[in-house]
Amino acid sequence: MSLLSIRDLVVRYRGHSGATVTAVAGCDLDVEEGQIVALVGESGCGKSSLGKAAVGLIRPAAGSVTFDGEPVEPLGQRARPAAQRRLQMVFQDPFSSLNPRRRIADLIGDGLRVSELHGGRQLSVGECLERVGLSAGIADRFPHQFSGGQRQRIAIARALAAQPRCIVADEPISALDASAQASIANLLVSLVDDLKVGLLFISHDLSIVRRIADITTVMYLGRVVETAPSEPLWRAPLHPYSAGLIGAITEPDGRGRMPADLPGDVPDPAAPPPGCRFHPRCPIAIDRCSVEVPERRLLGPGRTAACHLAEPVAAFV
Amino acid sequence: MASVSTKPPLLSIEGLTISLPTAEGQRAEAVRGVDLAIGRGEIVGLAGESGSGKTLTALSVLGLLPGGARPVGRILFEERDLLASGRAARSVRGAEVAMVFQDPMTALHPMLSIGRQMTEHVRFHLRLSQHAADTVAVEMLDRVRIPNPREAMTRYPHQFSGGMRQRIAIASALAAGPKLLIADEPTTALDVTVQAGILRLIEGLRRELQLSVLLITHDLGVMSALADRVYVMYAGRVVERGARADVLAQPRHPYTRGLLDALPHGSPSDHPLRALPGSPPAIGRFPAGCAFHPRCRFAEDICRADVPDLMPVAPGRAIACPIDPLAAVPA
Ligand SMILES: Nc1ncnc2c1ncn2[C@@H]1O[C@H](COP(=O)(O)OP(=O)(O)OP(=O)(O)O)[C@@H](O)[C@H]1O
Ligand SMILES: Nc1ncnc2c1ncn2[C@@H]1O[C@H](COP(=O)(O)OP(=O)(O)O)[C@@H](O)[C@H]1O
Ligand code: SF4
Ligand code: SF4
Ligand SMILES: [Mg+2]
Ligand SMILES: [Mg+2]
Repeated sequence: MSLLSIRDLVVRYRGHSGATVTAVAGCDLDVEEGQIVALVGESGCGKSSLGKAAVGLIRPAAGSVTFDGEPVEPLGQRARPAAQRRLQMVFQDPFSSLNPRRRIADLIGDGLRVSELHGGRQLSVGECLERVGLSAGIADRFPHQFSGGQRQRIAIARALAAQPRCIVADEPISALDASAQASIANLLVSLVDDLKVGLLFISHDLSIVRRIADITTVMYLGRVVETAPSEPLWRAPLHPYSAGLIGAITEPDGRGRMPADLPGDVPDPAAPPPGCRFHPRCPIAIDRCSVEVPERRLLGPGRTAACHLAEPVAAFV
Repeated sequence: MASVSTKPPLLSIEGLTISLPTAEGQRAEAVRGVDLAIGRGEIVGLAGESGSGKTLTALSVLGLLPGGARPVGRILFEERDLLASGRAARSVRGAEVAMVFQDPMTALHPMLSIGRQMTEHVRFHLRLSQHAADTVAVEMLDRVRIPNPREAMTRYPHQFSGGMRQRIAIASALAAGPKLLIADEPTTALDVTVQAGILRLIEGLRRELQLSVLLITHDLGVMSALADRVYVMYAGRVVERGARADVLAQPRHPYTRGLLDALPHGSPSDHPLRALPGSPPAIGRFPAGCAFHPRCRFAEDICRADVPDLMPVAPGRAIACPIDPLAAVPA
C-alpha cells in the first residue's frame, strides 16, 4: 500500500442557504515515499478540501485516508497517535500560518517535541533552519521580521522538525514573488530527494508543477479527471479539461502567443451538471456526456482519465 | 509593432520621481526618474518585483497618488501636462484614461447594480441621457462577452464569478471611450483559464478600438502574450526597455535575466529553476549605486559607487548597466 492512500473520498460542507456543497465527490489519490504528486485544478474545485481531509483537518463524509497503513483520524477529540504526526501540512499563506507572537525557536520546538514522541534522532532548531537554507542565528527572532519567502522556509522547517514521512503542501508558493517561488520549489525538490518524504503539492500553477512533480493529478469540480506522470500528461493530455488547462498557460518566451481560451466558468458545486461534470465547457462533448458519468479508465502506464472519448495511448492495451 | 514612429506618443512620462513620507518623518523616493512612452494602439508592459514602483507610476497618471505622495517631472497626455495642471488631470481621468485593478471589486460598488454604476459613469463623462447611457452600457457588456447583457445590468457584482467581474470592470472602464487603459495586474487573481479569456479580450479591444494599454504585471508570461514593448523596473527605476521579443527572449540587464531564469518555462530539461538570491529592497533602503548590486552575480566595484544611466544599446532598446555582461551571451 502507498505511504498516503486516499480512496473514494467525499467532503461535504453546509452552504449558507442550507444547500449541501459536495466539494470532493469521490476521489482516489496515492503518494509514495520520495515522490512528488501534484494536485491541480481551477479555484474552488476542491483541492484544499482534499488536502485538509488527507491530514485529518476535516472529517470526510465518506471514503478513507490511510497513512503508513493506518487510518488517519480527524483531529479533535483525542490526541493523535505519534506515528500520524509524521504526516505534516504546509499552508499557502506564510503570514497567517506562523503565530506572530512566538519566536522561531519555539515554533520549530513544537515540531521537535512531535519527533520526540515517535522516537528517532532528535534534530536541533539550528539544524532544521539550516536544512531550509536559513541561518541558525535567527532562532530568537519573530516571524514578522522575515519576507514571505523566508517565512515559508520557516514553516517548512517547522514541518521538517517533526521528521515527517509525508507533507501535504497547499499552494505553498502561490503567495510569493517569482524568484522566491523558484527557491521554495527547489527546496521542496531537494527535501524530497534527500529525505525520501512523500509530497502532495497542491497548486493552480501548472508550469511549476510540470517542473517538479513526478505525478500530476487533475481535478475538476470535486472529481479527479486525469492522473499521469507529469511529462507525458503535459505532452499529450488525455482529458479535454487537462488539455484546456495546459493550453491556457502563457510562456515568457517573447513570442507573443495568446493562450487558448477555455470558455465558461466552473459551475456551482452545489448543483453540478449531470453526466460528465465538464460537459457544458467541453469542446468535444457528445450527447452521451450530459447523461452518463464517465468512469476512470486505465489508458496508459500509470495513466487514468475519466472521459468517454479518451483513447488509450499508443501501444497500450 | 515596436512604435519607433514619428508621431508623438499618446502618453509620455518624463523624469517622473515620486517621494513618500516615511515613518521616521522623512521623505523617501519610491519612483526615481522614470521615462516611459505609450503610442496610440500600443500595449506597453511594466514589469518588476513587488515594491518596484509600478503601481505608483500608474496612479500618478490618473492623479490618484496616495496622500503625502509628491510627484515631480512631466506627464504629457496628448501634449497636456497632467502634473502641471490639476484641471487637465481631472478632465482626463475616467474619460480619457481609465484603470482596472487586480481586484475588480476595487472599481465596482458592491451595493449598486451593474447597470446603475455603468450608466452613472457614462452619463457623467459623456453627458448622455439615461436611455443613451443604457445603450452604451449594454453594448460594452456585450463586447466583453457578458451573456444576456440587458439582464446582467439588473444584477449585482457578487452575483458574478471573478472572471466575469473583471470583464464587467473592464466594460465599465471602457464605457466612456477612453484612449488609454491602465491595467494593474488584471489577471493575477484569476485562474489561467479565465486569464486567457481576459488577455484575449484586451488584445481584441486594442485591435478594434485602437486602445492604448499600460499593462502592469510581474507575470512575464502574461507580458509575453500581450505587450508590444516592455519596461522592467527595479527599486523605482527603469532598468531595461525594448521590444517584447528582444527583452524576453534576449534579456540584456542582469535583473531581467534573473527574473526569467527563476521562471519555469520550456521543457524541464531546458534549464534548472534558478532563484535570484535575496529579495527586493524596501523604499528608503535602496542600495547606493546600482540598486540591484547586492543580488547581481556580475557586480563589480563600480556598481556600488555609481548610479547607472539608462543607455541605448540598440534601436528601441536601453539598459541601465554599464557592465553589460549579457551583451554577447545567447539567451
Ligand atoms: N501610501 C503609501 N505610503 C507609503 N509607502 C507607499 C505607499 N504606497 C506605496 N508605497 C511604497 O512605495 C513602493 C512602490 O510601491 P508600488 O505600489 O508602486 O509597487 P509595485 O511595483 O506596484 O508593487 P506590487 O507588485 O507589490 O504591486 C513600495 O515600497 C511601497 O511599499
Ligand atoms: N468551510 C467551508 N464551508 C462551506 N463551503 C466550503 C468551505 N470550504 C470550501 N468550501 C467550498 O467547497 C468547494 C471547494 O473548495 P476548496 O477545497 O477550497 O477548493 P480549492 O482549494 O480547489 O480552491 C468550493 O465551492 C468552496 O466554496
Ligand atoms: S466525457 Fe464528454 S464532456 Fe466529459 S470530457 Fe469527455 S468528451 Fe468532454
Ligand atoms: S550595474 Fe553592476 S550590479 Fe547593476 S546590474 Fe549591472 S553588473 Fe549588476
Ligand atoms: Mg485552495
Ligand atoms: Mg502594484
